[in-house]
Amino acid sequence: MNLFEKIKAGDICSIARLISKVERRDPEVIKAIKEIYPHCGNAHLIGITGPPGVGKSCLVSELAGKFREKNRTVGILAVDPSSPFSGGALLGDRARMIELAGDKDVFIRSLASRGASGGLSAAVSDAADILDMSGKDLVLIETVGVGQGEVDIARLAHTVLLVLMPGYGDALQAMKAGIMEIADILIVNKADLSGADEAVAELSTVQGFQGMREGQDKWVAPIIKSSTLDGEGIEDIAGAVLKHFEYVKEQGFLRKKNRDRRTNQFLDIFTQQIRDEFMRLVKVDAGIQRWVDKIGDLELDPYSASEQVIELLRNAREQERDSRKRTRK
Amino acid sequence: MRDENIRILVAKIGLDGHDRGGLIIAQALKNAGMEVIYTGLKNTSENVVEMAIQEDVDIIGISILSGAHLVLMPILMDELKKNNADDIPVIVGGVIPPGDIPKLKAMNVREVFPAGSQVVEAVAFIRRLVQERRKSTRAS
Repeated sequence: MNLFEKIKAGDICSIARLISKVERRDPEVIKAIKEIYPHCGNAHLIGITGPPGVGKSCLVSELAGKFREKNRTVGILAVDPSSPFSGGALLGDRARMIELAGDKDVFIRSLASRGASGGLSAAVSDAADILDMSGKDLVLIETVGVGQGEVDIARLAHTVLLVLMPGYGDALQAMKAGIMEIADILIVNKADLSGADEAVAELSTVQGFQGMREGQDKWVAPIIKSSTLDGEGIEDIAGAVLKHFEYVKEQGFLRKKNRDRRTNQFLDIFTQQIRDEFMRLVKVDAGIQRWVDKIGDLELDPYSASEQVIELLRNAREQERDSRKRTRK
Repeated sequence: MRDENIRILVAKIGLDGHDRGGLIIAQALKNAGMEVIYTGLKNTSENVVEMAIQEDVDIIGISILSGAHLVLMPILMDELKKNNADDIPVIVGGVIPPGDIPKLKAMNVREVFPAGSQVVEAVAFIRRLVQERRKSTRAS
């Protein structure tokens, strides 16, 4: 069996090693992703986000258990922050997921953010594709503990859960414009603590201020109280997650979500590769080196320099179109 | 080439309620630039091996303060072998009497850091071991 077949068959070791290769941007991995890509698109990607300490990891564990009861296979990607100083990370999410241990239909992987600032890590999209291809029905993606601006998960996941807890009242006001908008399901976790009903009321008020969602999306995020101590609300959340996916499919949003995600992914890869290729060229091509130095010596401004390159691309495209026309004649 | 992040599983196995040591070493390894996957307390050997494989770690660090190391470590080493994962090196730290260190090493535990060990020594040892292993596995 080659790597591709092993992953397709759900071989845990191969999945784990390929994710590591994605993380260290091993050139070999690009070949593997090219092979995998046409076989993706079957998994429901679910994002779980919220401030630090609201109980995201425990909730992910409980939800995964609930989906297993419903005979769905589950992949979990848990992102924790890397230290900006040492580059190291303490990845403690799976310490809260011990109940899932020993289940061959659950694959858990901890990822360090490695400098990414949007609440995820650079490898998470490819890692989700790998789990998708390995046959996981659901992929739960837990972000780092977020504040107001880390909304990358909305570009990746089909369904986004925003997890809060009692006592977040004032914080909610500040969240109105930011992270609140990306939530498809709102959760007040730790509902065993006092103040849960007040938190639900506040959320409902904030939701009222927000008005309708952009475009044709008429989904109103349900607000659900949960507690991982006694399992309150877990069944409701699992139900809401599946219901939201049905809604997204029925309304024809799934295709748009997937296309938006892939367009963003392409743009990220494209800009990175252009950068890499340009930096390589600068090193080996004295002409380009001199041209870049002009920018540094204030003889050429960076905007005009960029326009010159785009002009080159445009001309190349027109030439190609002309030559194609000529061959057709 | 950029120095790649070392991934290490810091695990507690068996009935052992003391995790101060494991947490201190986890923080120290993080500060040394490593990615530390911490398992929490009271894991079985089966769980630890499953985690090590899923997380594709470079090395496993077991913290034991219960005195049951001569009972628990053979189980863990067997479990690694059963899962074709005995290429992942294992080190042990904790309350280990000097006389037991050769016994653990005979089970293929690569190094033992008993009470009183210096964190910097452990960091240096892990770095050296992982670099050697990467050279041999990635070249093949």
